[in-house]
Amino acid sequence: MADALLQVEDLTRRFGGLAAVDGFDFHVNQGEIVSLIGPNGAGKTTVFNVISGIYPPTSGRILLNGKSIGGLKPDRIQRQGISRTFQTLRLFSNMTVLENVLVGYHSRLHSNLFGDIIKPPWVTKQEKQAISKARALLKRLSPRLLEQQNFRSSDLAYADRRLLELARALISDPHLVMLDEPTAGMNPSEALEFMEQIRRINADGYTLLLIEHNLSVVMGVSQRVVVLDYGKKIAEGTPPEVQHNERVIEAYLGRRATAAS
Amino acid sequence: MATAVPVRNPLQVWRENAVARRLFVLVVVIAAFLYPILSTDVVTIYTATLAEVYVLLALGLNIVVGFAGLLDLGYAAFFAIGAYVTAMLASSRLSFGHSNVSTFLFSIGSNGVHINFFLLIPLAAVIAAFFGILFGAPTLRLRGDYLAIVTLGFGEIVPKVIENLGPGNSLGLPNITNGVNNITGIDSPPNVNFWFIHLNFSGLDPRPWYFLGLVIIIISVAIIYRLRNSRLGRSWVAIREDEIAASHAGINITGTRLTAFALGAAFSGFGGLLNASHLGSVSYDQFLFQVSVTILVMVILGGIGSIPGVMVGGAFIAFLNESWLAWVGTKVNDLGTALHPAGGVIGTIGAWLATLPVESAKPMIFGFMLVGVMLLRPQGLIPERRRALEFHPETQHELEEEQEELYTVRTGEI
Repeated sequence: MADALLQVEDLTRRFGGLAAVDGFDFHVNQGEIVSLIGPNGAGKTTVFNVISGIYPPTSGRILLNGKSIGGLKPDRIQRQGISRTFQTLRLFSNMTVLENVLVGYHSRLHSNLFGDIIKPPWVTKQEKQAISKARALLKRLSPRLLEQQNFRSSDLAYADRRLLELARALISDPHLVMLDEPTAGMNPSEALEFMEQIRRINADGYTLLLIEHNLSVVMGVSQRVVVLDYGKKIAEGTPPEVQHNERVIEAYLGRRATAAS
Repeated sequence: MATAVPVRNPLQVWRENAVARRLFVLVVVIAAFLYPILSTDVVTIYTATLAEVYVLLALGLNIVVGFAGLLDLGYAAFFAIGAYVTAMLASSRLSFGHSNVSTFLFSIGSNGVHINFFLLIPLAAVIAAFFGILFGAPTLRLRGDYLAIVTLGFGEIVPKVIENLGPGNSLGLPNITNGVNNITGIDSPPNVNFWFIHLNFSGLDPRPWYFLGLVIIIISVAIIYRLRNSRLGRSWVAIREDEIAASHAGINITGTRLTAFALGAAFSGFGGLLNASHLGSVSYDQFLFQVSVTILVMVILGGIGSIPGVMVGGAFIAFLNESWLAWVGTKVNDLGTALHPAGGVIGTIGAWLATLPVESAKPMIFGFMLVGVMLLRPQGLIPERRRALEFHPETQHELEEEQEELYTVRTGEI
């Protein structure tokens, strides 16, 4: 696909002798929800970490809107329009809810040292706009979050913290949002609620790439599913296609013991 | 939960009241200006001027350690740079040629380099900041302990370089810093006669320097407050809290840390400038490791990250260092002398106390103080609210109210 939003070609990432990701190809189109699934240790998080810039790729290309972003630092990649959340929450726990969201907007604010010291009207104005935007986003995600905007982020309920991390990723109006196991640690009703959030933000125009273990979430929201095993893509398709794919079943459940029968 | 009324200490009460807080700050500033006018105790005013230098240093180090969370064990290096820049650009040290080029702002030539003091104020800060960037750029990729060790290295290197750039150095370089000898005869600031302000820097009276230091501190505090509540201040805290999350939020980690390092250095440049011009001389051994540690103790004692905290910490340690310990020392010795004639065990103790060099136990006293602070009040005397919360979650409402105020005032809405 030439017009894919994110195009990953022949991506390989080695750690010593181990190829955590090995010749992986996939793409995400504008407006899609794509899920990356696979058994533990399949290399899903490594794919995220390479795309978001934690490690450079060993080889292969990563294109965002046709522009190569492989090997850039995380902050540069975020500026290009990819933001992410983490498998284990990474909030700024001693900052308030509102401040957490504002940090996510950092790269869209333009100020320099002298602007920060002198605070000319345009800096104050942009700061005001950022705050209103952050509040609007919090309200859109959950009115409860807006009520708690001046709470320390570590004082929120767990599901709200997940939501706050999502808000921090969304505030910069990214082209692509990558969510690494967003429903990990949630109870089924919270996960269901979060699934609804994912649908809503997708309807608002955000393109999403998920890593998810909760298969009911994956099958419920994704338009396309990419299955990874031992760093290689083993299947790709709509949720029902993937669910009935022999190789996927094999990867998750093991090879059927045909020889013994 | 029982409906116990929470005990409010006075600190909390004035914190929660913005008007009282501003009034208090105003009273403190006015008192600071009036004190040397009303007091005739020149020695204390002199000590207060030294304390101002330390307050500036503590404010600068607080940006690095408190805001950005970088442990800097060699901060005295920047203090030294500020002081030596002043010494070399405002004395007859760097003389060359046979004639002088003189203008309103500077004179260069056979009488040395003499730059106008008020031009030197920003210049010292800019040059110190430049060295901050020079030292920081290759090293700020390091974290935590590793960075601390590198900064420790800077703190050792800078005085050594100054020591070795003296006359007849083995490097074959000209005498730049006068080496182990002091640079003396540093220019005093020009006298100021403006409206009702008359500052005469040529005499021995420390008051003009005191006022100068006070003005520099007030400007510095205003700048630091604005920085803390800005986009940059927010990104410092974010990096301190979680570096990986911060970089994925679009913050350039190395660049943002470098700004903290450079700004910290700039404020110590002010400190160095004030110190050099006040004392009229500089020497490399004023900037050894112990100075770095002393400034760090000020920040930790006062409250890491808290602007009023580090100012109180700085002033307290400076007075302890320069005057109170000596006073305690003489009292202890006097007590010993008084006890001595008693004879017996008491007499022996008296004889011991009479010659006990209390002041030279400074490092031990600082050590005990640090241990005490860490055990009894790890957040410091006047803690920053964020850090206070780490230790006392029940003070959450204070942060909330502050945030409410900060962001409501800014946007005019809730």
